Amino acid sequence: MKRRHPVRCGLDLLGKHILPPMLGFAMLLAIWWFTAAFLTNLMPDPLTALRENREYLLNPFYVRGPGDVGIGYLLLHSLRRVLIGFALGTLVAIPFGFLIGLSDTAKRIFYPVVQILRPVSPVAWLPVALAVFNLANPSAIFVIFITSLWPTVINTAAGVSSVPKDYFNVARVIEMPRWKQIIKIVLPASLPYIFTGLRISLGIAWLVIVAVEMLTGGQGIGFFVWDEWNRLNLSSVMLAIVVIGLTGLALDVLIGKAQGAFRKWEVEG
Amino acid sequence: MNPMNPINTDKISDNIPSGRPLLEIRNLAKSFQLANGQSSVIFDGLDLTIHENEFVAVLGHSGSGKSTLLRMIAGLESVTGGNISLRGQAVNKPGKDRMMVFQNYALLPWLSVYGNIRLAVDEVMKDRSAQERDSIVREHIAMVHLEDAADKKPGELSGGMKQRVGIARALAVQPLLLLMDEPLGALDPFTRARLQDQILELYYQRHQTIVLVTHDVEEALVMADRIIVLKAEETASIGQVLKVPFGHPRDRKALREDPRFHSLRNQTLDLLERYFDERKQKAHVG
Repeated sequence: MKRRHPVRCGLDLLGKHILPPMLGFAMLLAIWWFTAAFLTNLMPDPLTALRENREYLLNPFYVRGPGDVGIGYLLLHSLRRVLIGFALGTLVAIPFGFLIGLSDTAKRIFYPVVQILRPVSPVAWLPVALAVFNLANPSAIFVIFITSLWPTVINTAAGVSSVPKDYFNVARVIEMPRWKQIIKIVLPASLPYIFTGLRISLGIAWLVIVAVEMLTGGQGIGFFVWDEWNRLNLSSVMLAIVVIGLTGLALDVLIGKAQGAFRKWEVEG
Repeated sequence: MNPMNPINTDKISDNIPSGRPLLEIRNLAKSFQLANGQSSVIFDGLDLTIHENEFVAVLGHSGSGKSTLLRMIAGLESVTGGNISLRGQAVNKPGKDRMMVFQNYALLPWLSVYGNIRLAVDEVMKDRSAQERDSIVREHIAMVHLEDAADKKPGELSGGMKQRVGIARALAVQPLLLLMDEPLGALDPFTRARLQDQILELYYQRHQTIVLVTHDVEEALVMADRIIVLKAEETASIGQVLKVPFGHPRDRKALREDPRFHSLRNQTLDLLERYFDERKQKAHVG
């Protein structure tokens, strides 16, 4: 490899990885500023918003009463709901995906149901959940549970049914029992697909929790958005948007890292 | 020995192997159900005996049913009629006594070389201690000269290396019969020649009975004691059985200079071409 001058290297980094994203954010801020200045009186410009959010930013974990806690706590509440719902959904979705992927009969029975329920916005399940649980928090978790099902079920089933036939032939000639084939061959072979499903599920769950919390109320980043809008406090709404975005990105990066460990053997078989 | 002819000719006169019958195929029939409800008959009454310590090549062009035959012996494909027996025991499902080497290697990509072989050894030799199984795996990795790659994943190996893992995995469980389904078909000619020599070496060391499916006439001539040439007309059948007049061990260079090698090769190629043309004509008429 040719040695490169450190200054050249630094310039390259600046030109390729620092300046272009900054330009993008600058455009976004310009649009924000334009909207605030000319299109509505309710919205603060970026600098005003930053000033008004000082308290939230400096002290994200304050508690001044049940209805007034820092944005850090709100975020943790929302994350908790998402992670519980996602975990429950995953526990159901992976075995269910295996069943559909391994058995044609199971596929014929369940796939039409999955196909019809999959396009339904998970928020539509909220009234059903409220009727059953009578409580906001379990209902929100239930909606996230439903959200986390479909992408994982469909991707797991696809992964399981696309395990190369030769892998099974190997298992058969060494007389490996069926249950062991599922653990030792089908599961590792379909892990890349399963992770793709999990990644999509978690991404959608994070989208959906905001909408659900707007409807259910209680403590959470979603209700915070709606509550602050009702107080016509758009500075907080803008802050929440940034926080939701950064958290979603962090979740995606985390699960992407886990997925990356299995990617290597996705390409070849 | 005649210096003009450096090939070991001990077995020439006595080429029908002296071993006892290992695998017996009697009146074998196989047909597939087609999508339109009709059935397509591949074999109808095939007989074949393979003897212990024999190296048999099954030769034929694509569509001649040679892979189907091998897969039926492996138990991976059901038979429609007749029977296959191994040492007198009927064969109707896959088993560790008949290990298969697959054309596209069939290695599990998330396991290392060691892991792939260990998986098979663990499953087949449950009664041995972990230590014994470990040493069996190591011994077979050494046998195919892959010690340095033992911890590598299949994705990091060349095609030839992958197939050596496939061969080591198959031999590690000590099968009665080694079945090879075009094992070298995806390799370049040079790698192929080297692997042929390695397989022959293993054949000598272990007195392993081998059935090799191939479409490469030279490969069959270099390696096998007997070549079963399949001919596919409406159904596939054994067109001719060629006895290979060369003894073991074989020297590739010496074979290349042997006039009998050339005449056998040409004879076999002619035969295959004739079968192929006949089939095309039948297909046109039908």
